[in-house]
Amino acid sequence: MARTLGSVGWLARRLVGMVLVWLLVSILSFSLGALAPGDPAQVMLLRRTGDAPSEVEVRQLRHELGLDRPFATRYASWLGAAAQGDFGRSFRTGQPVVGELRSRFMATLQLAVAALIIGLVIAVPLAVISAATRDTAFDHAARLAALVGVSMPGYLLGYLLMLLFAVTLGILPVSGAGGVRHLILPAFALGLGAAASVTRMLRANLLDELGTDYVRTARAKGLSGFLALIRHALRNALNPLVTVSALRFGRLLGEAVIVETVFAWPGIGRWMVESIYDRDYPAIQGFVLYIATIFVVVNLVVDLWYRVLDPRVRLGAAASSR
Amino acid sequence: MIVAIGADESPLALNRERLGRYPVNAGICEPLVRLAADFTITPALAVRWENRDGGAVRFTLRHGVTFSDGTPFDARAVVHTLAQSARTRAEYSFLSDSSAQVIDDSTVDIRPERVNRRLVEQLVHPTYGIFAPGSDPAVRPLCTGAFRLAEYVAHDHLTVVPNARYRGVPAKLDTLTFRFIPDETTRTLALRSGEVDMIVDVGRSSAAALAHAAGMRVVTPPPGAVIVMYMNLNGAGRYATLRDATLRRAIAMAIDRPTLVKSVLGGGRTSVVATVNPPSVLGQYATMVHGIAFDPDGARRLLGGRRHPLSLIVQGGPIDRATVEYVQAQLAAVGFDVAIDQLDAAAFETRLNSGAFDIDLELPNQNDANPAFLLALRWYSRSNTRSAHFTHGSARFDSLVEVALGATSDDDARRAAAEAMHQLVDVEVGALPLAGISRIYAMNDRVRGFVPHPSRLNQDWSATWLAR
Amino acid sequence: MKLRLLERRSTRVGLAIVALLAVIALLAPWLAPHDPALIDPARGFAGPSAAHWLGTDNLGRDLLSRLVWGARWSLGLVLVATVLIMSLGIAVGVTAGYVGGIVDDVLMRLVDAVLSVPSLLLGLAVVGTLGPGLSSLMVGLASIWWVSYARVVRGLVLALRERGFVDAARALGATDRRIVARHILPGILPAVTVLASLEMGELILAISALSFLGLGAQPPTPEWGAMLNDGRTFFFTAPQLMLYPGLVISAAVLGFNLLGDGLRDALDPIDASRLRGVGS
Repeated sequence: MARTLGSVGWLARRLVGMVLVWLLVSILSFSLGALAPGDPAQVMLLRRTGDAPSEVEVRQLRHELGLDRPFATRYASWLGAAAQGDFGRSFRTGQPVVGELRSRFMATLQLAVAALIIGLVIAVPLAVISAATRDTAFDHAARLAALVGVSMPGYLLGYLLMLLFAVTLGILPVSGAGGVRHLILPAFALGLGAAASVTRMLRANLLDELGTDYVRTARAKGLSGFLALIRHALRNALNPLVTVSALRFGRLLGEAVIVETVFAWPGIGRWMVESIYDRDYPAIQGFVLYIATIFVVVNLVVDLWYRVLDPRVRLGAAASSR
Repeated sequence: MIVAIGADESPLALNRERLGRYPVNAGICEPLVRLAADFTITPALAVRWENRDGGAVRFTLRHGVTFSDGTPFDARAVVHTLAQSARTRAEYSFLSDSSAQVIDDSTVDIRPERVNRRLVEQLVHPTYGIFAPGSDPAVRPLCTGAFRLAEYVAHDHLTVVPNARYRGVPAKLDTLTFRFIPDETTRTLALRSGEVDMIVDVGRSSAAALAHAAGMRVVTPPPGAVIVMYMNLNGAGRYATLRDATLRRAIAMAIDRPTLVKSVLGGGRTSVVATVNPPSVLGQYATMVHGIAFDPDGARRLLGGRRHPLSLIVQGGPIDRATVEYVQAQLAAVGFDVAIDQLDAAAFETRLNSGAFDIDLELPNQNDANPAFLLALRWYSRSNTRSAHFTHGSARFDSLVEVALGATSDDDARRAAAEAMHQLVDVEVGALPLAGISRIYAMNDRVRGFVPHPSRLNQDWSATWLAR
Repeated sequence: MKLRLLERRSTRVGLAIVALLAVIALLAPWLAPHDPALIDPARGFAGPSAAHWLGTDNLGRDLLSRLVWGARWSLGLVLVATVLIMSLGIAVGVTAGYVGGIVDDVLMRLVDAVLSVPSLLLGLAVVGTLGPGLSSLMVGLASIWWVSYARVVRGLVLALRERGFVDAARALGATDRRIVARHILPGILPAVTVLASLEMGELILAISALSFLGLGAQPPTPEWGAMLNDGRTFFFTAPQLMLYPGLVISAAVLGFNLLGDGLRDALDPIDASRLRGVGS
């Protein structure tokens, strides 16, 4: 009974916090446009006609766009529309922001999921073997590889992958979207960095677990060290692994911007860069709020998941974009 | 055949109505007149044109032409297209949505809002490509060109196939696909991997590597653009430095343009030019513009040992950093401390239009046959570009530009434009042309029949084919 | 702590790399054989020689000199950014942890808000809207990266409170300001230093990513990220123009990561556990 009440209270607090975070993000993203130098109306007219507009034209468009209203009023009406899924029209394309946002986000999501899978497929075995053979040559080599992987600028890696797999071996396409084959190289370029950092974290976690009593007991009972590691340590390192993957996933979405530019992948990062260059504030603001909404919701789901899985887990420890 | 080009700009509001015409001209639409490689005009949908009283031009249209869906082409299509393009972008052709009038089925009068004798030379631009009145150019441009649109996927590709109803020699390619690959190194890798047959806007370094690669060919047309240094002649406050003509001359004398062309820009068809447009636009009169010779000691003498801070703005992209750094270093050597702001398009326009610069480095393309186009756009005091407020020169320059704009013969226009350019470059030093630049194409050796046009927007793809 | 720190070879390697780069950055004017901005296009792309150990770049500038000066610019930028980030993060974290209550709630929700957008993209949005240049780069980095510090610092402050220092000091009549200055700040500084070294590598990579997108240092500043990006054009003909800055960046990131790892492991295990998952 007390447990149920506690859960309801927890959930209520969590939801209130979530709404607060969402409101703060909306203020942040709306301010981005308001604080930036340059008049959106001027830029918009410039884009439309190619010529510098007259003062009268600018004033007229500012009025049409509602830019002459006070900040708070504009924010409120923007937020009201955004809450219903309407992020306004793009200055650049004249089309509703949300349509492009969705299709571009799906492309990036596809890339990031593929990258995470590649990252995990590489990282988990590497970390397990590395932890099991601690301080051997393999362990050192794996750790060095992981460090180099984390330390490399993404686009350099992208070019090298293209050169090797597309130009020299001729087995994969260089760029563009369409089909699984097009996904492999950009996902690798993005996923290798993730593989490196997941390896590092998982190895450290496994070593912690190996030091715990029950693994020692299991070893004493005669299981080989390796099996003990697999059976017990890995099972216990699974939760941290989920956390680390969630952490990495948020970062992958951000790092995708470089890979998307290099591999001509029509994702949200590239779209964001284009929008920034053109001062397309509805697009920038819509993007920030859209992605933050997804994160906030995912965070809640992860929190709930932990709570169901392990009630002892501290509140609020969940995924973030870093 | 697959051609890889830079980022897709078609979804932008500005370009939506010009799908397949601009900024990628896929040969779907034809204008009334076409630009030849020597920057003269030749007939296309119009067979003849003549100047009328009151500044109008009368066009006689080609007979028996149909759009790709079979509907006949006539004067109404011309009026419809020009009215629509005037609504989206008036530019310096001074057309309004009522400028074009149907005289009969095959005759159209076009009368700009202001006398503009260069109108015919401007109509070669692909944004004036004629489309069928009933069609939506933003979704499905229906035109008379050698190709018709097959498929367009934003940010990915645009594919055209031959137009079976084309009036001329049919296009030789079965399909022509433009793939959008923003990164230049990636484009080069795509060509090397065989994923695309041709790449456009090849960097000079990649071009040098590809020229030596087996099975690859690098092709460059004559220069279609010039790197121009615009000087702020009418700046205020901290941007008033270059009101002083002596300092402007010192800048021009400080820069070793032959070395810039040879060592920094890497030779090829890049050339030292004295004109702000590709010289061929001026024909035989190009030699009237001399340019100012490299003389760093002379520049130092002009400065009398004083140093001057200068602000240079440039857009990232078309002009590479090496050129900018070279200019910076050369100016530093005689006594100018140049702070560089490499800006994105929006920030750049804001700075330019508010006069917050001493020097503006740009690479304007010549895409029509009007020899005075850039002069009238950027330095003429009555230009409708706002930045011209800061770059416009003397009354004498203005009057020469007006002569060029009002000349009834092409030859007179070229001579007047050359004279105005001499005034701008040699006398007033309001602009410094740095180098003539060509768009570079690279392709595998299966690509045949490709003749590069110096104007990037007027490239004809119909004679190109792919060997088995 | 010092002894334990240097026990591990990897930490010693990291410390050596960072120390070496720091010395190079400090002594750049004396170490660089040439003026990094001196151009001579006729001698572009020269191979290694006695005069130019690493050869020259496309404009004939000495590559080694540019890399040496690049250490000063790149590490200097990261250092300035880190100081800004630390100040902001500590201020917010200490306030949240020390004041508690609704202030804590709101500040931590603000942290969550910033964390809910991928930092590289949010940084890009800030730097992009402010326009390219070193100062907007600093503002962009600082306005985003402070959040992880704030979160860690808050946790450390709470832990300190639990240990009873604060109550004891207050019982003795200390003011809040004195408690923060005398008891809180010294208590959190080791962990914050570790965090800074873990995040420096990340900042170097973020600057290089922003340079790639045209938002980095303006010419002729020989910043490593900008050099790497400029070298991109010569990927096929002169890959060393990309390779050298790429290697230096990787080495610096590697050095900071190794050092950070070592520092973390040498730290009080309770504090260290708060730092897991940060950096790299």
